[in-house]
Amino acid sequence: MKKIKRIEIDVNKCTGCRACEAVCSAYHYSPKFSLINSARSRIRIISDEENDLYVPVLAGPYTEAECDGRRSYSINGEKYDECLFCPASCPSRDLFREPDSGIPLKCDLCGDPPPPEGPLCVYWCKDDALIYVEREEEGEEKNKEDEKEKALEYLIEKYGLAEIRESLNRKSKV
Amino acid sequence: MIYGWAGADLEIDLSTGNIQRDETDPELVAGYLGGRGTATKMFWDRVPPEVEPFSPKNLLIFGAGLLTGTLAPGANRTALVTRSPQTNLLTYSNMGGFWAPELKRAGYDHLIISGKSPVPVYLWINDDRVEVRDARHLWGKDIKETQETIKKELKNDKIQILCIGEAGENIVYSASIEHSTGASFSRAGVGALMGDKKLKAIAVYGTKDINIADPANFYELSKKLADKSERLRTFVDNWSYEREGLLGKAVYGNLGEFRPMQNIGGNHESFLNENRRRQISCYNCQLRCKHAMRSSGGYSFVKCVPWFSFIACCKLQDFNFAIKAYSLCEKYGFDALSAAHMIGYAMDLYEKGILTKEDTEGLDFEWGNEELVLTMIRKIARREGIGDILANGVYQAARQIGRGAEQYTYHVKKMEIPIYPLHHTYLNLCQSVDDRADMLKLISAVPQHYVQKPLEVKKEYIQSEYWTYPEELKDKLLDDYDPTGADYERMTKMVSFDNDSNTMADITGICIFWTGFWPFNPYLFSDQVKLVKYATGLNIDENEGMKTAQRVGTLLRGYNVRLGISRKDDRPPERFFQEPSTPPLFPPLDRDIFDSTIDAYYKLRGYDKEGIPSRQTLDELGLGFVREELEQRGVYTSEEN
Repeated sequence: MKKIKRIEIDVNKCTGCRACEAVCSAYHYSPKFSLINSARSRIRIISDEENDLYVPVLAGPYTEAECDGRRSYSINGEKYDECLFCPASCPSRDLFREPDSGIPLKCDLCGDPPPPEGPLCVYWCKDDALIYVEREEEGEEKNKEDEKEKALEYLIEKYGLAEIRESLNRKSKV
Repeated sequence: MIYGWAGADLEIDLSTGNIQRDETDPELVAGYLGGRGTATKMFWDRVPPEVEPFSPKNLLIFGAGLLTGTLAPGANRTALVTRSPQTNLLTYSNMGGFWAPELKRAGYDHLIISGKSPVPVYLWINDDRVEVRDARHLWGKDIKETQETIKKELKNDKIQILCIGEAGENIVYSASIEHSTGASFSRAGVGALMGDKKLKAIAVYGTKDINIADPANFYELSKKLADKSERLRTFVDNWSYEREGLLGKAVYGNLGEFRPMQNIGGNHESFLNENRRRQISCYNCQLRCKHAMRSSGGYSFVKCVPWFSFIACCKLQDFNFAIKAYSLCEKYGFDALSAAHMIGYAMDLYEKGILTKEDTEGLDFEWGNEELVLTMIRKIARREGIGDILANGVYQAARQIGRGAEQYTYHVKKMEIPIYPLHHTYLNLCQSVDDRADMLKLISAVPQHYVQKPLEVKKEYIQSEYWTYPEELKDKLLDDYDPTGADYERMTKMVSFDNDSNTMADITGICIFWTGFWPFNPYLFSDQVKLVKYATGLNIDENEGMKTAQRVGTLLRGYNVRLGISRKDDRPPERFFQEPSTPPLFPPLDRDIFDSTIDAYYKLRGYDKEGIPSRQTLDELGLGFVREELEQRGVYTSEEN
């Protein structure tokens, strides 16, 4: 059995109040709640009030590469750049990075274990636009050892054992 | 490190282009805390009463609430303190939304605008980088166009913008400063001042921290208050005239006649249910009191009363049309309440033959003429034809029109009054004594509606966790309700308390929907003070908090006393003493009862019989400098006060 944890987002219920941003920035600082700053938040509300659009976006993984960003979404007849709804912290923008240090930010569901009331953006969202779901599912927890082995096998097959060994030696000397 | 406050003030002189950043003055914030409090004191210190509203020396002081931008629920408001072109008094206008939290994140508690620019400009405040930018290409643009153009220009869709529309540019006396859906500085004509200073917009983006001195306690209390909002959330969701039992009981309309609720427009509740697409909120507010209504041109955003004003003032019957007219006012950037009132006033004069087709360039000012309402909103915003006269507000317009027009004006201290039920002594007390002349700043559901509830409901209420008035008033709430207002002892005590509690809300930046307007307010007065203490580390208790609120309110009064304000101005329009409501649900206001009510209220405020704060009151509140001023100006005529 494996444990699935996720935040489900209902864009129709969002009121655009940004309490989630405020509490996220406060919780993830040390000491906890000692500052508030949406610019440090791992969740941002993308809104276009005139088009009745309110989309909470939770920070995803950091990426070193910019994507080509060539796609767009058409919502209620209005066109939006795909970047607007992208959760990645990427070099092309300063969203989901600490404003002073530039360190990328990623949603961690308020840590492991989360506070008793669950991830705080969800708790403060009284309109249930954000719902925290935790459930057991059939299947095995991902084994990190297996993943490593598989990746190595793939590399050896592609470059040959000699080259990979040399590469590893070089790296371990650095 | 500074806690609670952002820590600096930003001042921009539009005459010279000089930009100055000053550290927060610890003495100022200790005595006046923030928001409307500190802004009022700064205005007193820097602008003498001889400075007229349209002088370059008149300042616009935006004061972000002390708790604005923090986790305190509903703390998102800014107070704008300035001299109003409409009332010619020191005034304030408040706004929610997202602008003030952004200003604080940019690092500023106050934004002070002085001088006048020779050409249209806008301000771009991006953390420490502050620019005065050319706005000639924005001049003449409506609110939405202005905001979209600026967002594109600055390549940032997260900026928060304040701007004026054509009404502000053309110095319409009731012009607003607009921000976002249902958030604006609407009253007191503050938009005209931005227009006069040729300041089209103020765009802000910030990435700095707001620090909290006692994080654990601050968070616990904030969380508790957000959780406590559940009952009020449901109450506000379902609030309608039908559900509140106001049909047939409340009387609306200032102009031409008073009308009972059942004749107005249709079914409020079903209209909301059918047309509301979403409820939306200001920053960190769980009450979502603003309704996004689907309309022909996209979405309209309404809340509470203002969109109702066209129905009441111009005798219209159609909710959809009322929203259309309201949205048009927002587009041009002016106060829908004053706009409806001005057009209704012209309709009233037209019916009475004081205005004729010669004056109106052939326009037909029949009651209920929808086409005319839309035309006039445009004409007033652009000061075209008769719109130019009405743009000065009913008080000035009446003097320009002459021919007896003056006796049909309805204003308090030259400001058009809300369309609210008019024959309660309570409501007239609220609208008379406020220095901004706007009862909406003082009214509260408990003295207005809860005094009328059955005994069991009142008994439950005084024991509930929502009771915020002083203990001694608990028993008084149980007394029988007297609609004539003869029970003014209870009433005045509640109004006086609400005045201070709401002043504290303007200081902290918490919306009065959380602190005193409704019956199930999550915040008690003591909660506001506790959060101030936890946020800043100031050693302040409830007693000192109350005194600070009184200091701020009395300072505003003191300023306006220098401008000649006294008892004669604390009065509703004469007509309310003369006519009953139609149909006669309420008799005319009783002059003796009203006078006694004012007496009792002044006594509670520490004012003399003429409505002047007494020397003793001023000294007790730490306003010795106000006493000296008033003495020097010969305001005190006898030894008694």
